[in-house]
Amino acid sequence: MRRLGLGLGLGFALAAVAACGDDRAGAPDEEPVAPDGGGGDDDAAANACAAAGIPADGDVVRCAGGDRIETEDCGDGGSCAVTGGTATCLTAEVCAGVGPLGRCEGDVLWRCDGAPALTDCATTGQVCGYADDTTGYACVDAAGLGAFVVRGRVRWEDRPLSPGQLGTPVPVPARGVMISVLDDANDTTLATVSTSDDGSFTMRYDAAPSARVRVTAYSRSRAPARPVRVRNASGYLHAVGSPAFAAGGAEPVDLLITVTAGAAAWNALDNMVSGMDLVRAHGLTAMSPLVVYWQQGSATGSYYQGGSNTLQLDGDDGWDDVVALHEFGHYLQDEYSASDNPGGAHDGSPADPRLAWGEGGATWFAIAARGVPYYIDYAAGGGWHVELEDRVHAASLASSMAQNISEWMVAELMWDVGDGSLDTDGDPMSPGDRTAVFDVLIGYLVAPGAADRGRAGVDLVDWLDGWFMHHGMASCAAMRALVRERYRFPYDFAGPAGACP
Amino acid sequence: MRGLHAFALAIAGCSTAAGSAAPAPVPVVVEHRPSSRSCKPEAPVAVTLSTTVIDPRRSAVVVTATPTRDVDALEVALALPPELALEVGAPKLHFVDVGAGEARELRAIVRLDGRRGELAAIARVPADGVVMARTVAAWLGEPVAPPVTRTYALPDGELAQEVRP
Repeated sequence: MRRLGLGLGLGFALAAVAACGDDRAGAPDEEPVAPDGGGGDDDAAANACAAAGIPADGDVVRCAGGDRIETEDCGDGGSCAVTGGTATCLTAEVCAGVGPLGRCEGDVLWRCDGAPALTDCATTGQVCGYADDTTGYACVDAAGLGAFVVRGRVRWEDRPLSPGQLGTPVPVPARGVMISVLDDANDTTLATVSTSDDGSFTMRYDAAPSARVRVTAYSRSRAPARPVRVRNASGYLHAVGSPAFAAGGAEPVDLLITVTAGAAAWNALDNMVSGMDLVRAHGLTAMSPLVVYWQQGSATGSYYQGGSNTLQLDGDDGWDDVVALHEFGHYLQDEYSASDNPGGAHDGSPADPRLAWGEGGATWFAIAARGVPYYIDYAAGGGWHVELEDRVHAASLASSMAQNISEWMVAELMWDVGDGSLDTDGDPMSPGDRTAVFDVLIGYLVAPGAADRGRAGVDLVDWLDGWFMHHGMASCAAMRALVRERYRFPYDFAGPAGACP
Repeated sequence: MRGLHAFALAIAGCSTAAGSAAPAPVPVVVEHRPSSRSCKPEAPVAVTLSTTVIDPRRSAVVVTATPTRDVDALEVALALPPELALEVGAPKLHFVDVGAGEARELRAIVRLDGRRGELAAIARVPADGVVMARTVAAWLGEPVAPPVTRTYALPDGELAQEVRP
């Protein structure tokens, strides 16, 4: 098996000879080396991936303007591949449509397990297919995979959320969604795979030649990287199926899960997928399974239940991405960070600092995941929302570090610390870093022997202590300006990391 | 939508014997209040929406909002889809300085004219400088037919309820 970048390069490049041979006035001093023994064929070299180090690993070599060769640096994390006779950079952006399970395009395998890479499975006599829920798509032997193949794409209708309104339905790819082909006569599952992050799937199966089958998408992600299922109030997975078709026919089979068919269940699933991707991106790899309950019309309220790792979404929170990610934030606290939230009804007013930490921390996760500093709870008539970048729900410098505080203040402060390029209020911690905020959540707060200051139990004081433990004292002045002057919170800047000057 | 959908009751009595009285219309009530276990921030106010069929063209509506803490201001409002129209009453009322547990009402008559739609009742209160809202909703008119589904078990025992085209 060879990587396309170096393997298919010659064949494709020869087939796509460019007019770069005559005028080399603009060519670089350093001649690129054609791949796979193609040295000396200038035209072949003109649409290829450069060999390692010549001129730079990962660079693309191509014609420009029809008469000169240019190179392109694919950048950090990028790689080069030749497809359709054209050498192109595969940047991290292409991975948005691939995901952790890879993707098949015919028998070409896309993987993004680091730098993006393409592999032509046919060069080794294999096909691109679904290996298992851990590996996802891979080059696999065709024998035993099933006589029939069905490909297609699954999308669901999203209703984009913004303060005070829901947008009109927009089809978006179903990422990592469980999909099966079933015998339509008896609902027997014949094969099960997962969609790639562009919603595409390739599924091989066996069925009696006369059988009629259908393709069905479920509100579940089976990959260990994203172990989530969304059930209705009766405990059933939501599912949407295609019309039945003759086994081996009707390719491709595309599914669109509409709003009326229950697309909000896939919206909930997609939010959990986003949350788990974000958690994994910050170094946590083993994801605990999560079960979400949502059903149109239910009146359960929205809450997370530790122990069973279940998350209830109220019937009218199906499109509420921020509410869903807020509850996912509680899952994060429960499984990978720390919270001593006593729970109960709360409205943002100053409250027990353990509750303020638990709720404010969960809200920070939600707005950080979206990159939009608004808490939004949509409902008919607009619902309500609160802006968390410019607003200040201040504490009192005249009180103690154990005072009751607003959960909004916790979210506002954490957003200011980590908002980086999203900063618009010029807070003292700009530019911040979301990863730096995350480090404390999954580091100091769960570290053995971490000090417990402020109110007994995990609260904002402990997170501030952890900030300096993780990141040193260089930010003392900026944090003092943010915490004491902007938020009027009397943090003493004398935690276990030492005293700020 | 929040709360169980409340479906307007069909008017009975069309084929009853002459002289027999039609049963009195029964109000359908949906309610939403701060949950003791909900962990999303919620408006400190309970809302009840009561709808009573007057005749096939009209329903009487009562919205009751009860703050669970003292509030400086309380707004009670109806949100009607284009299919419904307000015949009697105001779409929005404002109250000031409402104490915890004190109920405020909005009464109205909504015209359906044979159509159907989801009526929402909203209570808005300020909490620590943020105007928060609680919403309940109810269907007026004929209910929407649910999608056709079939249920079955998957190979690992998980159950699924599938919407069929």
